[in-house]
Amino acid sequence: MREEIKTMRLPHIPVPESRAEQVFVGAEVAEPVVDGEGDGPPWADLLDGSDEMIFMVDRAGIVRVANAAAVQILGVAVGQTMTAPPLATVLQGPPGSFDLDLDERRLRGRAVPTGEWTSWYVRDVTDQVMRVDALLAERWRSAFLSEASRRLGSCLNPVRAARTTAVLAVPALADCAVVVLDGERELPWFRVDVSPEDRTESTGALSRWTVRPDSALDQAMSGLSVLDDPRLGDDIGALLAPGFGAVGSAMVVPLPGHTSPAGALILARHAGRAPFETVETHLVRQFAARAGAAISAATLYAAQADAAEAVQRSVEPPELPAVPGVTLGAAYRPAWERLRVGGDFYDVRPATDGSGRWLFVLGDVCGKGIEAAVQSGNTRQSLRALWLTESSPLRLLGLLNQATLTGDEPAMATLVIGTFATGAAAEVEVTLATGGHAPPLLMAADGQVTEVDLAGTAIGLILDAPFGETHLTLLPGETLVLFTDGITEARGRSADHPLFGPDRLAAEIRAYRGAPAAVIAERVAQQVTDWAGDRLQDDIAVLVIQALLPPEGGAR
Amino acid sequence: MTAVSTADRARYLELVGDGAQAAAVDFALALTERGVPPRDVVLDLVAPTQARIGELWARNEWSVAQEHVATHVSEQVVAALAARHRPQHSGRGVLVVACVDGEWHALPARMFAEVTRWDGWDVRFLGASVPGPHLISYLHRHGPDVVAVSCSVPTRLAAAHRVIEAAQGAGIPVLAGGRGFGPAARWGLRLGADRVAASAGEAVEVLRTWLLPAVGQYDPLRESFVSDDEHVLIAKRNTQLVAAAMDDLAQRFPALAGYSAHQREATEYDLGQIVEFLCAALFVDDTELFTTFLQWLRVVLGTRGVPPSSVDLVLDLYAQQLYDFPRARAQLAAGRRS
Repeated sequence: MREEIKTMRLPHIPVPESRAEQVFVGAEVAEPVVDGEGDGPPWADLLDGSDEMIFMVDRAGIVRVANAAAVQILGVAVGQTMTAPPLATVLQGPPGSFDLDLDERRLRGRAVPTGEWTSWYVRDVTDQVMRVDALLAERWRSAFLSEASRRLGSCLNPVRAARTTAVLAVPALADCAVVVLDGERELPWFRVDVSPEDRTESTGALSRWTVRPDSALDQAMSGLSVLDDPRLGDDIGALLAPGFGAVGSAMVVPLPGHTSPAGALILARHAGRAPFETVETHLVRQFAARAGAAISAATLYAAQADAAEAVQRSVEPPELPAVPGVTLGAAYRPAWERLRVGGDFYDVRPATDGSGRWLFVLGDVCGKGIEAAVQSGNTRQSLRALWLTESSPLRLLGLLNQATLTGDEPAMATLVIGTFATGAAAEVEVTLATGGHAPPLLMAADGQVTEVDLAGTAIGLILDAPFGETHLTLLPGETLVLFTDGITEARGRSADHPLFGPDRLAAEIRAYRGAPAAVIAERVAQQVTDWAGDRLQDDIAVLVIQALLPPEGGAR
Repeated sequence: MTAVSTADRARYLELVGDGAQAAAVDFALALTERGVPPRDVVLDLVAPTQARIGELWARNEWSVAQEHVATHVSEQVVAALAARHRPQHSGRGVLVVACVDGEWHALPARMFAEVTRWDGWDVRFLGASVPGPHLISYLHRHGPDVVAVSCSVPTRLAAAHRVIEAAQGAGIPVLAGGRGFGPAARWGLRLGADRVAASAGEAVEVLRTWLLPAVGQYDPLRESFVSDDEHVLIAKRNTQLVAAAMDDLAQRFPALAGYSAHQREATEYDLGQIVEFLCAALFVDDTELFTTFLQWLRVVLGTRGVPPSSVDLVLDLYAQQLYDFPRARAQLAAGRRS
């Protein structure tokens, strides 16, 4: 290629009158170098037809040949030296590739040494560069939005979502971003501010009544965007970081929520920074849409989680009291673990009749999950109220049955209610009554485990249901184990899925002879969990009441 | 003397071994009155004793009941120390401590929780076996600065991984700790935890020097951990693998027919454990997990009169059944050599 150029010589061709406007100057070659003018191909026409700017410069820097594009766009003149920068600067440099900006154009060229002269080929790449820039900008914008979606999408906490919104907006969109959340009385806000020295985050709350009607914030809160209004600087100044200085440009846009805006996003740029372009305004709106959706979803989630947590708290198993002469232990594992609640329950409370007795209950409301949990909470609550006036287990069962059957949605439940009293001796006197519940197990000090003889009908089925009652005495070291059917009916994970069953339960209790009540309860629950292969099909609850051995005994 | 001595540890082991709860509590509180910082009582007395108890059980010197009673006593000791010694300062940040789903060993996490509380953290201890959804919901709602995930048994690593990813997805950095994460807690790092700690003491140090990201600034940049499906497929076949192995063993050892139901169940349990640990080893792709477990199992079985070679026999049986699982076979072969 280079060889070819070296040997090429431009013929002298006169300018035709009719094409004068094409400013063919290629003819003005200083020295005709090719003989036989007019005979060769019309080289000058060929060059003038090119969009590329082509010209040759001699060693002295004088332009010797130039095509129409070079004359028009670059302003070169044949026979003259180029003096005007930036082209002159490039021409003085060594031959090679270069990019230069001339007026509104981006020019890309290369210089090729051609014997005595240097040939220059320059293309206008303005459109190409603009397309690439636009593409990069667009790519940046979609990357920004997808990052925003990713970060906001995984956030279920409204406060965090608001903060993340402000964090994402700075410095990508503005130098200061304030997210103001909607609220009944107070409007919490989160601000991120970036200066050359520092990046600061702050938070606070506005009283709803201090938001001036028709202010930019008020408008955004009612769903209107406020773009580059000259008064905006004054309007939002108080919300910006102290020392922000003059506001160059600003926007206040709503954060669209499910029905009404979840809040507003205030963006401000320093005076030195370019104002928001149309395409940026569009980007801000898209960003605000994502942020608003995330914040409202998080708000909705938080409201439901609050409700669920309140339910959960109300049905949480109670802490066991410390009772002299007796050790108590309990374990509770709900099958429906998402909220850690279920239909099994237990409770131990002192009787209020001054007898020094204690009342206890262990029960199972039919059903699973949150509904069963709410029902079990009701049952526990009814029982606590009944305990204030009644302490006979049998009569309590009758009253509870009546209360359940007269309720709006009677739920069947099985339970064991009892009282125990510690006398002067180390024995513990126990009265037990059952409504349809599995009879408790009694472990003697020597490890012998027997079933307490007790039967009755579940509550919540019929009025005047028969309930059974029995009395027993716990000698020191003897242990009474109350449990729900989730234990005995737990299915094993081995091939034929056998039931855990009462025998296995009795053996497990026996293995813990002499261990404190809490250990026995925990171990039973653990053993059943292991048995079921970590997937309990039903809630399990255990309550263990143990008459204390006088000295601390070993478990060996 | 303001440090825990060897004699103190020996005495304490005796007390918990006897299930002497009140005496053990008094003993621990007396140490703090003598000037031993409560954190040292937890880290240098209770924690090493718990490790020792595990060894004593493995070597059949203590019964399982005795081990659990002793653990219960230690739990009461930690609770008493926490009640007696309130934190002197606070303000390091909010820390959530939770045991992974299916992890019922709460004591190591409880000890860590109390020690970090004394170190100035606002600690929310969520307890044993925290279901994943419950933990994630809690993290979203309360937005702590960091969550510490405790795992004592490697068979819970898959659950730990789900929790680590979900917590990070909620924008909360994760500290993984506990023996389940392996030597120097390296499987915790493998599963993408931001920081790991092999012990409660180390975890406290990690938290002290960790410059936690500001809210909303946290981004787990590392690639998420991806395992192949072998462990899932084998876990699904656990029951069949165990049943087939039991049949095979019954043919080879007629004595098995005379086993009591309880003994048969114990054998089935051990066989199932081997499969579970195999799955865990496949999950983190580390033979050391499997071989360490097998070494321990050989000790446990050996001290209970089961010949350690029976473990190799089971590994062979599994290898035959898992002929189309190359990674599992490599694990089983490594287990055979261990």
